[in-house]
Amino acid sequence: MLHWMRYFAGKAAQSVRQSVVMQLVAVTTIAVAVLVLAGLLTVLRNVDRVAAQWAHDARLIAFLADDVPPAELAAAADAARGWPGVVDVDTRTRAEARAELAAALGPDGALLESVDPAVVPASLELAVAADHADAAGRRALADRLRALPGIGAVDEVTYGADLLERLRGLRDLLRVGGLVVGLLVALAVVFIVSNTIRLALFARREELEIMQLVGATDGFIRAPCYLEGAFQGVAGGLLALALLTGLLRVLREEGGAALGVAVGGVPVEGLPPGLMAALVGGAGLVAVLASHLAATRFLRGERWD
Amino acid sequence: MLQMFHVTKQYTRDARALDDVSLRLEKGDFAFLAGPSGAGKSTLLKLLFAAETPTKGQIMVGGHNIHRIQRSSIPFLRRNIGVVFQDFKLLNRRTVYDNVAFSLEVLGARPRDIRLRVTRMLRLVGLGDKMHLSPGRLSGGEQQRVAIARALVNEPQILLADEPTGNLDPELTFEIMRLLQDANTRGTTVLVATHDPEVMRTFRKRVVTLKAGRVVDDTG
Repeated sequence: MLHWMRYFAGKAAQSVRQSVVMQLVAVTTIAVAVLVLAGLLTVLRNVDRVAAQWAHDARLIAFLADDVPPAELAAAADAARGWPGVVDVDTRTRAEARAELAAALGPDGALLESVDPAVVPASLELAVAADHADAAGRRALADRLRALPGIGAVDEVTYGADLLERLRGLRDLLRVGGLVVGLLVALAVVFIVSNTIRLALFARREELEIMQLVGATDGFIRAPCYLEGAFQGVAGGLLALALLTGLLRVLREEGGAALGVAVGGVPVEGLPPGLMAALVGGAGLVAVLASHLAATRFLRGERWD
Repeated sequence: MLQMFHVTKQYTRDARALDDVSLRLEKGDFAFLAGPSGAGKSTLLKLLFAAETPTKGQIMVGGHNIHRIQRSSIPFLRRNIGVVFQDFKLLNRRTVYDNVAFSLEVLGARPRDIRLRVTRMLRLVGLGDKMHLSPGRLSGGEQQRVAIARALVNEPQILLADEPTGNLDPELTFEIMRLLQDANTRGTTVLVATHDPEVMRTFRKRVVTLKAGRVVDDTG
């Protein structure tokens, strides 16, 4: 067995050595195809994480139409604290909200003096537990907030649901896109590897004809092709992951701040090791399949002229 | 050992390469397949090592009906058949040794066995001192001896030779024919396609003559 493996590995290595340029082109093209898929999976993974984080940090803010006295606002907050799913309640009177905004504006805070006080409303802010952070849970809390006695009319309840739903929509779209891209990548790998192997087999056609003449089985002829295909697939997959890792590092180092804002403060992460191994293994397997197709087509065209 | 029953091979609707050919060779026989170019000699040999399938008729090789064996079994059939071509079919980028070792490598022989058997076979055909050369550096007769060594190294029961001396001068022709005769003496059934009457006269073996795809004479 070991003798056979050594023999096949030697034949595969010989074939790779005989067509270095072709091999480089194949490996690079596979790497680009796998990189596209891996990049998409990285985006999908980070969108997932941002969505999960946003759902976890869900907060409901009720902006109040009238300036409610602090005592009544505190009573309302106490009532809300007892609701299931509410972790914490924070309140701001108009004056507090205005002061906060002025502080945030810094030197431009003076601008607020000419603004109608009603523009900066009083608010009641609820931190929601993760198990109540789904759309239905948040909607139920918003309804209870609106019905809360003693705080007058609720001007607007905002809970970021639209944004979260949109983010989840984007995630679903990316999943479908990932499947399509995955399929395209697999097709690309099959096309590239099968053609490379066919060219390699064509270059060795005399040798293969003689091998068939002296009684080599199809499996014996195919085995080195499988190894060559696996080499191309695995090398292409590894190169793609190395490029992706490098790209993520550059993004973190060079555009870290901008990227942090873009993903809501959630640090960007690469793919987990299991998924990376699956990508490399998948590329190798698809390449072996492509080698099988190429070798079968070649062997069917056996001739003795 | 070799039997053909009413075999016809038709490549196109109008032309029959072989037409109702029947032939029988026993174990240890030596026969010439004679006839002019285009008579069907090469087609008959190709049918025997399953490179072609007959349009009609049955072919038995070593007890196996070629028509009935699966494609995956053909390599195992070929391991019992050595084939020598007029154009040698050698790999010039490999050494003489590698060309002969090829036949044993595909059988999965161990490197030590390959070394012993290839060296012995190359000595037998008189090329013991040229095993590390490229076939391209050898004369036509020597190249054909390499091809014969490759065909015989795994001790096949049958040896088929398609015009093995077609490219050689008379002296080398007899040298090659003697090698084929030696193989026959060791028990191999030999069938040689040739259109050289001098060879057939000298070696006085059975002659099956083909003309336009039909057997027109059989001295056996």
